[in-house]
Amino acid sequence: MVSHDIDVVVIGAGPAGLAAAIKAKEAGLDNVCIIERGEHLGGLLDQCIHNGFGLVYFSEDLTGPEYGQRFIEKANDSGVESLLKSMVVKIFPDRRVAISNEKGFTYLSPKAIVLAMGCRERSREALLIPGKRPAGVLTAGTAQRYVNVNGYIPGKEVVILGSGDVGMIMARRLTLEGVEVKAVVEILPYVGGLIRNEVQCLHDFDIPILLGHTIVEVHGSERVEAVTIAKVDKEWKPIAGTERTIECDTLLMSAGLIPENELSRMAGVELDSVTGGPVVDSSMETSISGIFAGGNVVHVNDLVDNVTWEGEAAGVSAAAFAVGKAPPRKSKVHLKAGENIRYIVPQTVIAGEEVNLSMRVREPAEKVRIKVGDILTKGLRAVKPSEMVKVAISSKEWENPNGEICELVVSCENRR
Amino acid sequence: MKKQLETQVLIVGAGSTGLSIARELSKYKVDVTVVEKNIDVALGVVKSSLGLIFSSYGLANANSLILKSSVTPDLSPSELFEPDTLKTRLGREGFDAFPALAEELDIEFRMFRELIIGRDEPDFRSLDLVEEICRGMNVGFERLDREGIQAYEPHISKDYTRGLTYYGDEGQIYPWEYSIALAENARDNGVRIMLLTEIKGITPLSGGFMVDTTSGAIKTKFIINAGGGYADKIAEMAEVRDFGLLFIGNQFHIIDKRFGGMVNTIVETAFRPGVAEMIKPTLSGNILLAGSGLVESKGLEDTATKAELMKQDLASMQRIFPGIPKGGIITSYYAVSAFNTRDPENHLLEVSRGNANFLNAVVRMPGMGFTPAMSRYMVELLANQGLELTTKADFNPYRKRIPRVSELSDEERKGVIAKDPRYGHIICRCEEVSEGEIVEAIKRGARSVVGVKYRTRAGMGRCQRGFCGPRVLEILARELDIPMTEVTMKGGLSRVLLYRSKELLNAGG
Repeated sequence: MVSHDIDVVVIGAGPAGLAAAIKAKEAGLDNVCIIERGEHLGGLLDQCIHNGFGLVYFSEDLTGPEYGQRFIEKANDSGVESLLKSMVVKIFPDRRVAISNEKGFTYLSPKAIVLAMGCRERSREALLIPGKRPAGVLTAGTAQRYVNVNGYIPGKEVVILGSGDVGMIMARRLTLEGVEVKAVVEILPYVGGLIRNEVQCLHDFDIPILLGHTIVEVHGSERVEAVTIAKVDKEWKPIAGTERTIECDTLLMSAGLIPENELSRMAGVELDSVTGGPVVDSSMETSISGIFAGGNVVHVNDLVDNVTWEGEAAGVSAAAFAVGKAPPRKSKVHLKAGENIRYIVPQTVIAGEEVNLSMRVREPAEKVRIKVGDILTKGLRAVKPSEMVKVAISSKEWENPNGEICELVVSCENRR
Repeated sequence: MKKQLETQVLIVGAGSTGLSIARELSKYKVDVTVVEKNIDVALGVVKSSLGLIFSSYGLANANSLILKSSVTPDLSPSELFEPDTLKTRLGREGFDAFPALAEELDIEFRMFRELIIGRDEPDFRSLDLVEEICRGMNVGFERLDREGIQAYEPHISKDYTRGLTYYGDEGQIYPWEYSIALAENARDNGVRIMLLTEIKGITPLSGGFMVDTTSGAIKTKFIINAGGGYADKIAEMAEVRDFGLLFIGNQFHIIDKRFGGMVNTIVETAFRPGVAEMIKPTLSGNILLAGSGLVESKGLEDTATKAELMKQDLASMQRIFPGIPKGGIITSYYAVSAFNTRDPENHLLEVSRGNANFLNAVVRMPGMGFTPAMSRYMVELLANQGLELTTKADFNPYRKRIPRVSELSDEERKGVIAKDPRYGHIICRCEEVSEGEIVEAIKRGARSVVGVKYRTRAGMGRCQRGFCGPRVLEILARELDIPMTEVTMKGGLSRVLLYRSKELLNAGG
């Protein structure tokens, strides 16, 4: 039974939540409790049976379950408590959380909270794709769960809309199951996911990728029978006359991930309209004191390693807050997205501190220079929206002679 | 040889019309059978219903004006309403009966104010017409200026400078919840509901019919044709068809609860031919946008959402409520309403001219509100045709809803979970639906993903089954004791998972 005198509650037991809970526990707290809606710790890692996890964090090439297991064991060994099959249904601004599970309906009042709910996939409905609404339209992640956890295959002729990483990984996974993946259809002129997935999942299996195309109609009354695709113009509008119909029994969606912030919103946490996640400072604290966040709930990452690091940072800060040792969060410097930068996380930093910035560019570009105000410049060979750009600011870069800094514009400029 | 079933009244179609008649008949010692070709009740025209229970027959008529004026523009006001038709009488009686009925069936029923708004000369002429109709039919209304509109709807565009609101509010229900509740209560009172039962042929006998169905032969004294969008085909089979059907389609969008507080009333823009813009709050706290285009349609199978309407609808939404973003739409659907061609303005509630034992209950929209009175009227018609009606002493008018944990107080919630722990296990995050609710829904007849959705709201939220989809499928397979590959979205060929893992590799050799 979980004690009601809780130091830190972590919501979500995916890679971010596990990392946060472990770090909070390692900081010496008595009661760190992780609340997970699923039946196991590890979040969605159990369905990610492909490799490529931990290349940076462990310098090893692991599968999702292997990567997850290392943290699950560490969490259990370090004495992190966990509530499984438990849903946090409400968070209040005073940090009370309401939890529903088979044992009952209870409230916890932790000293600090870490939000680690991760993200969800954009649905066909949210993308406003016209046509019929038959069975056989599902998100790539849902298909991944059916295939890798349940042991079922949605259909034998598949079209995938969007070239996100999960979609490309499922293209390969289904091909290995004897499914014909007829096309990956991407509205943008470039692939949405990582280059390594484009090469290893699509090119290596001769799966056609149609860039600059979208689906304009879904056919089939009961089960998907076909989709009509069309080329799009520069404004992403379908070009009349370019339609062509592909017969298939399944349509997978891999067109965007959305940080899952229903609970954050309930608590009154300020959200960033670009990332869809909480605005955080460099300690991963949200706009509400004592509520921290890390991983895909803050912004969608492309590597799990980064999710882990963010979770760890949130866990460390939550632990410090819980024992009243959080450093004063004064004189924040706002980071503002400038030329070809979509967003920067964290959104605020403190002058003088060492901090890692994660950012995404708007457009692919080559031979660029990342500028953080006039305190830091970093040259990069190429950038693309699907690959996170990381920039570390060290303390010496803050030695600015021009007095106090309130805002830094981060930009990605061409080197000429 | 298949066993032959004998019944006194065979109701064709388990929509809100057929089921409300079945429930009304279940008050009497009559053997009643409902046949439905789908896997569940309420899967036909019910879907196109807005669930509005109109307070005044004048308003109901004003609404039907949309259709009439789109079919025949330039009608004079006097041609647009008939104050004393059967339709208006039953509408009034139905509205009056609804609160008590909603209590018996334990369904949601709440009242909302309705506004009709305009922003330019053609709109104002249309509003003049509505005012004239109201005066002609003694419906009280209040004219609104921009400030008056804003007082009801602070988020509405200030471009709307004139409008009106009727005295008295309109009721709202969930159309499928009502239909399912009717089915459950009718069944509790002895009505036989046969799903997946399609009629193949009807042979008239003297004083009755022999009906050939996919579930065997049924001998019946009376047939009530409540076939909705297929009512013409049912009448045809019985060789009594003296009407056709006309279909009008409309596109609907559901908007995230996050924006729910932006719309308080049922907002319609002034009627124009072929246009029926409506934005209203739903009982669940979402917003429903009824599309701008009323288009003649081929029939009930015409369910594809249309790209060109999508653009129009988004434009309508942002013109009326500029604050609702395009990204607020969580799902869209296209649904079709049926109208009889003999008298499109009216319902066909009658003993067929071709056979005194065949009765038509062909209802047009708006139809939900008048079902309580319509069903009594149909039962009277049966009595006139010689059906003996003896009241059942043990008729139980009450049906209890499935407990919804999201609606309970903390204490009630604890109590429900203590009795059945599955009510503590949340399956649908967005709508906060528990495993206990889903299991109960299956116990009460849900056989598909859609069946669970209509009974519990699981999957109706903003993530559109992203999280709960696989879990609902697992629970359906477990409770129905079928493989996951047999679970369907809504019956028929709509299986979600077609193969076991490795099955395709083995088949390919």
